Amino acid sequence: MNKVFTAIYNKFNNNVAHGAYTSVGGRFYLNVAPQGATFPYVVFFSVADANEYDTSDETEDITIQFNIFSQNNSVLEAGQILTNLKSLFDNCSLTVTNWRHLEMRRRNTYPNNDYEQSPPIVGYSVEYDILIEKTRS
Amino acid sequence: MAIHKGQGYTIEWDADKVLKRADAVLEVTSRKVAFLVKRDAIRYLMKLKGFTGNMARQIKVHVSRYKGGGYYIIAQGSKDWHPPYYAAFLELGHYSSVYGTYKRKGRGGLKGISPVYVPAEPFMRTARKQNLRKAQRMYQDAIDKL
Repeated sequence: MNKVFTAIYNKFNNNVAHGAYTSVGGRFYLNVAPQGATFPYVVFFSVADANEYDTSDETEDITIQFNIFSQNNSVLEAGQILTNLKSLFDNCSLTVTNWRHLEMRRRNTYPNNDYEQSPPIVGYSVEYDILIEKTRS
Repeated sequence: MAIHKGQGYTIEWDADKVLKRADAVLEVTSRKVAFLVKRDAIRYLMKLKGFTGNMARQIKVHVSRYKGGGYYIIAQGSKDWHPPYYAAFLELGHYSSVYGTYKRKGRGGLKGISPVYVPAEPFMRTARKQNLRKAQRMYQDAIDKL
């Protein structure tokens, strides 16, 4: 799992000129954002992980979620970050050490807002399925 | 049913009966799978700190009314929940000023409380994914026994 997290993190940080990086100022956190983190930012974490074995290979099907949060009176900023994130990760290729990366496919996108804040928090949750495999040892 | 007409010979394949039987078998299997996912969702909840069972009691299996049928598992559905509402917050993670206890929101509003990012504790999607292959096997076994 750590190798997949590293691959996603590297993918993000190796594209500093990409809109996904610039639109959040490089604030890309694993599992939890530090308290008081500057908006906007992205948090990613693992939702589920299913393994499958056959006679020769081992396959892992991992669901990863990205949470985008923007504190802004307009929904446009969060929408733009979402668009950038999709353009970076949709069907991208990851470098996962000792594994072959097969695919990264976006599944669902949900709104994730908190309008009680001032200015309101506008957010999205995006879900991806990552498929990797390696030869069984 | 086999029908003999003169020199011809016709066999009628009772597809309707077979399909009806297959439908019944798949219906039973779908129900089993739905309850399996519900059970595992509760298991994931039980591992969480501060588990009281309130959320577990609000996870229900319903028969789908959509075309195609089947079942769906819903946590805090519209008719099956009592406050506080937090299933989606728990599943997806969120940003909130009322993390911990709802009393903090209280009469003083949100003043003096610094909002925090609340990490997700996925339990529904995890249960679904962990049972996908098992469900496929269950359907296969059910069809094989027809």
